[in-house]
Amino acid sequence: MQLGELEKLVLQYLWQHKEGDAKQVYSHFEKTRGGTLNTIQSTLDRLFKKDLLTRAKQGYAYVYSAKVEREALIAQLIEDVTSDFVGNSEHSLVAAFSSVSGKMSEQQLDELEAMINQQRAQRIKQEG
Amino acid sequence: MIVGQWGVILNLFAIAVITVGISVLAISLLISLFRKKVQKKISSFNLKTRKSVLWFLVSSPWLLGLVTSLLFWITFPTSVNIGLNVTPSTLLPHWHHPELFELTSWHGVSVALFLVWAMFITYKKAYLLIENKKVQASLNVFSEKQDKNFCLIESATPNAFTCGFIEPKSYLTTGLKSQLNEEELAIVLAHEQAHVKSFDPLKKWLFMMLAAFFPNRIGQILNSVMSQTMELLADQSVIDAGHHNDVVASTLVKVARISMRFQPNTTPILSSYFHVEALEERVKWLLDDKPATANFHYSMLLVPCLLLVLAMFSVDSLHHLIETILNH
Repeated sequence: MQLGELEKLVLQYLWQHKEGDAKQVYSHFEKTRGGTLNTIQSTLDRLFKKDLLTRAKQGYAYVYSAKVEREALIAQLIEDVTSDFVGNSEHSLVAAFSSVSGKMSEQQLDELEAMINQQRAQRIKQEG
Repeated sequence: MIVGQWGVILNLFAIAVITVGISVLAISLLISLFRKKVQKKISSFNLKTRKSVLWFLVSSPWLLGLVTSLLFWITFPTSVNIGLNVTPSTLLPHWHHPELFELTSWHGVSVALFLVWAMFITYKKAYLLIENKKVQASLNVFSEKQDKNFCLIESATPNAFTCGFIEPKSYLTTGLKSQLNEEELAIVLAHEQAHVKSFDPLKKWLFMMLAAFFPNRIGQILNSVMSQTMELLADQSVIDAGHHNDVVASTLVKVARISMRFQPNTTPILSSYFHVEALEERVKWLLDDKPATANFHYSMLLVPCLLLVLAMFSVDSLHHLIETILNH
């Protein structure tokens, strides 16, 4: 998924205002950003096609609202940019690592921390 | 049938293709049968040598393919022109009628199948690269460049990672930044910067591309060992920058804990290059006061030499065997 600057701004508008049609979004950006109603319409359409917006027809116009929250979208992008890198065919590679870190319990982390603390104490003793 | 110079080129390509196949098979068998010994041997090297050995291992089918076809070429009558010709003998590996290439023969089929396979892998990996670039572009929209070192993403998800192939960048979320003290933050950023400086995302992609020619399981082993080596090298560069081993190790554990507590019921954020991948091994490596130091030794060249001999004779034997059965 690729998002442009205007798409981000439109999404931010909808996160803030919950919903809006093309004219409402356009009038919001008209003074600050310029552009045309057509540009806003096609941006809303693109975001809808990317499954980031939902829309309902009210009269002659579509009223759009965000389908995903900002936090969820960013979390998804982070996951995509990093886990996609591993590739579908090598998902088991991730799984192999997740079986180490994914199944890692607080207790295992405590044990590692105890080892670290022991070494740190030795270092401080030597330094001191 | 293709006759002449193109026939020679295609025959050499067929030899290279067969060698790649035989080498992949031999290396995979070697790793499968002696997995523990191979891993132990690789772990005994210092990190830079370990990385070079892995690169050599994953690219050796291609190197052997090139060397084998060159060695066969000097037995071709056409190489007389540059004074390299070695008279073929029935005892030594040789290739019959090198100037003739029959597209419908087993040579032609092998070359065609190999090309389809190689193109499929290249397409898959190129697609992955393009998609990754697109997502990174989207992420850039939501991030703010702090300085030349990293971009800050306003998100509660605790994460730190490096991505980008030509111009790699480090990313840090506010969710992670807010939970780290100054030194821990410096360690996380130094680790990510080490990945940026050595172009690890691109190298990882290239390595994965070469590893994709091996059977899945072997490819996964190679990828995971390389990935872990890259993490350890990045950890090493943090230590070289003046941070204590134990502080780096405790930062690793702290980040893992933050990540685990953020979404305890879901998969932890595996993506972060900083805290994923065999955390325990990394901590133990950081605390080890006698790290592996073995360097490259010339005796290690014995393995590729043996593989080359195996490839040469296998190509020749396979050639004779198939031609006996199929009569070309």
